[in-house]
Amino acid sequence: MATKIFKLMLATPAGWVASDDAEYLVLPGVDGYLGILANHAPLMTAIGIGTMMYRYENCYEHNLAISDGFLEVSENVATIIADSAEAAEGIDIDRAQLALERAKAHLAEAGTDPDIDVERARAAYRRALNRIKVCEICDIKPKSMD
Amino acid sequence: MANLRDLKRRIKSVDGIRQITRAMEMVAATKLRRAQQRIEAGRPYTGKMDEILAHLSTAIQAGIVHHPLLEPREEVRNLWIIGVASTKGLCGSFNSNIIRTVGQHAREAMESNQNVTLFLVGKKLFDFYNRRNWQLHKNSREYAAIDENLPISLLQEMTNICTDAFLDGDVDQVDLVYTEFKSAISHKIVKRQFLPIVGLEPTTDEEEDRGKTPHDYIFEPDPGKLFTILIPKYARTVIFRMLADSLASEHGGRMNAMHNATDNAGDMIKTLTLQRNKARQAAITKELSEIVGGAEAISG
Repeated sequence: MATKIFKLMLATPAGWVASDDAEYLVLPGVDGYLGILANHAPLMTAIGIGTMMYRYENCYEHNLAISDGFLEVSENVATIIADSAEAAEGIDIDRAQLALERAKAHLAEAGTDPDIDVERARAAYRRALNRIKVCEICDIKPKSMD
Repeated sequence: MANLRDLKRRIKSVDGIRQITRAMEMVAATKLRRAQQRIEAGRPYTGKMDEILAHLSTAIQAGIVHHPLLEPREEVRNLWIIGVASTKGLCGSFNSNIIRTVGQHAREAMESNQNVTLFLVGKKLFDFYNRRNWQLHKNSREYAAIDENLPISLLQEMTNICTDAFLDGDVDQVDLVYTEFKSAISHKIVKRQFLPIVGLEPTTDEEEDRGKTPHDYIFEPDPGKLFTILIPKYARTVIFRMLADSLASEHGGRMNAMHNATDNAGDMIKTLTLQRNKARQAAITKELSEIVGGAEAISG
């Protein structure tokens, strides 16, 4: 049986990240993860921080660390714009670790230091954690490291 | 006529200058290419953003969606002007054009009794108005020299400063003055309103889209909330476009200026070489006639 596919387009301020055909797509919506298959009804939603997964036919599953974006589905095209979207090989894990430590420190001091923007620190914490998580996912599945 | 040694010295120094200006042209050309690439890379994102925003606003036109960033104030008492120029000089009229336009715009606003605050990016621009004791935004100094890589955190911060002040009522309108990049040799100074946000109607690019009936979208969360999330992001892309364009224009301007300087140095060397040859020939002729004269005196 031929698999039904749809077009996936993902752009960040740094350029195109993906412009592919896809079989399925899983995204972290602001209200929870959601999945998209071919011929999905027109949809518009905001994307939070998390792991985005998509797969094209017999290809391996792509895992991307995505943050703060938008998804529009119409006419079998899924258009995503996001602040950042990185595949595991594009993630600087050391930097993510550092960011995580920094965010942790900020959150710990937040009670005493009124200058700290808790929202921002929390978002930074989640972004860093998300990047690390994506790296971990891909270590388990080394075939997606090529 | 200048003497031979002076001419030689001048040719040498002009040649040195030419080498430097040529090198600067090359550097500017490379930087321009990088800046252009960044504009290109950002285009899909901004393009898709415009599309989504257009779809969203047509979809919710029937409903009543307000966003505080879209609402014009009845009376504009406090105005911010964000001006963007460069940190380095030697880029032709790039900086002076911006300085002039910012000044003009500020003066016009002051005449209609608005309290104008300048938010200046680029050291040249900042220094000019700082020296003249204009009212500058308190964050101006740290933005005087910005990171050319335009990291997203910088854009976000700059956008937040403006939107927060707007929402708090500290400012009623924010205008931008910057150089729009058209091509390496063509730049245009633009003056546009940033906040409250205007012109969210679909642009001419989406003309083919307009004919289509809007889809019956599923919104998650509701369109109003989506709008609230999207608008600040849109504001950030406006800031991004402004800075990216300005940087590309700066490098383009510098490339041109240095190209002209290199050409002028070449012309100057040509003129000076001609003078030098004339001077040398005159010296030789003089020497010869002296020898001939001397020989004739002896034989005669």
